[in-house]
Amino acid sequence: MKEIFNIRRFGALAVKFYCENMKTHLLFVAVLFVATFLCICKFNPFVTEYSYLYDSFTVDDFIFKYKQFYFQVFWGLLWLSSMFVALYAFKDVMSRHKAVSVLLLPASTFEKYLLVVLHSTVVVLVLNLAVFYTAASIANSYRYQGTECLTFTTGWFGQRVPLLSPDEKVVHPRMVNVLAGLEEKNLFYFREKGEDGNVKSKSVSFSSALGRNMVVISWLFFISFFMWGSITFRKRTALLTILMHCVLWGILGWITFEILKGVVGGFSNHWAVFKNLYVSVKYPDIYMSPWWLLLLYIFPVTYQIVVWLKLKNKQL
Amino acid sequence: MKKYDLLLVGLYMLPVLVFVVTAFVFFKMGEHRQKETLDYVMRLYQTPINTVEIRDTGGKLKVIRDSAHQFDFRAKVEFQGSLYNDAMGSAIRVSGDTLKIGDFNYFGKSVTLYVGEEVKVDTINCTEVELIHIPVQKDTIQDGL
Repeated sequence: MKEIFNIRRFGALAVKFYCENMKTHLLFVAVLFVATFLCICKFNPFVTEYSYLYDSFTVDDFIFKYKQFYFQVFWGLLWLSSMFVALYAFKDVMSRHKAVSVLLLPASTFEKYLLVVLHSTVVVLVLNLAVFYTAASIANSYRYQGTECLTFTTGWFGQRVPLLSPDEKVVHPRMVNVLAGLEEKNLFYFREKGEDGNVKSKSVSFSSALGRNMVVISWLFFISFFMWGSITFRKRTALLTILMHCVLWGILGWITFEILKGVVGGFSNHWAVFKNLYVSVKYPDIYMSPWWLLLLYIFPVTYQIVVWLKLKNKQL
Repeated sequence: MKKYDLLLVGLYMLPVLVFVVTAFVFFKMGEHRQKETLDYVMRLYQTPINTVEIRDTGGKLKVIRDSAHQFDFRAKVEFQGSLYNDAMGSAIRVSGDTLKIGDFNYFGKSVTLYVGEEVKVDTINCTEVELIHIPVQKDTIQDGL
């Protein structure tokens, strides 16, 4: 028997997990759908919002506005739902009544761990995407409309509807790719002396690829953070996880502050050499590529390693 | 809480460590450069200077010959103002008994140089240099005189 990973065993474990928790998952999807729909409709799905679009610029503004809005709704809800799923990731393992039966399942620790990780990341992401696009399509069809029309009449249920001429078009917000919403932008500018001796202005840009990586890092960190809480604390998981980290960050912050106070204390880079001669130290330009930020992947990875080690330690 | 959680403490210690070490190296470098500059200016002031040669600079420099000015060192030249440390050694240097001033890096409005009565001042291609109480003998070297 393969101790680490066997695809059939993993498949059986996944089927068991999803069948046994079918009701919980369906309830989760239903709640997610309602929450997404309400957020997209700004918590009022019964009223249609009309925008007055008199030229191509106002149409572009209208589309851009909702693109941003949809982007925020999707990522906000993905964050929230991920937190919720991560918090309950190891609920059975931590339960006094179910722990033994879960840990005695004929599957390796890695298979159990992988199932939880895939459920908290890939499954949640796919579910969120499906729910978001469904809810957004429904809301898009009636909730937000842009017209050139300024005159309104009363509809069947007493609501305000625009009095459209036969050839008039109604503009709806466009469905956006919420996974590609980041645009390239310049972080800061600096001056550099070129080979020809001329000083040129250069910029350090934050590319969209790097931006996507940063979103993925922060999202994975967020999930890993609460997964760690889920396997560490039996009750009040979210509260204790946040509190624990706040204490740790506070202590480290204080230590850093004290050390820096000692290092920097009394130092000034602008000082008087003699009576009226002041000399300021010029430091070399330290340019670091923003791609070094990819090192931040170490944070979610370390959390996942700790979670895996803890699960392995619990395995009977 | 298990021993594995110490891995997380280690993980958070890592950026703190990097930050503190970087700050330490940065400030030590600054201190070292301060000391270097101090030594350089000290050596410069200890050298007897007969000529000040200022050439090819756009820096604002006032050269003043003031008999009332008290010089504390042998050089009989004294700077006043704000300079960057990289001006020392490359733009401001001593060669024999001549103080050579090139395109120096400064901040503030201008830099003042007090020179003694016996110190000769020579300027070449310096548009922003102002000579006060010094007879003008500009561009002697350039003219081949």
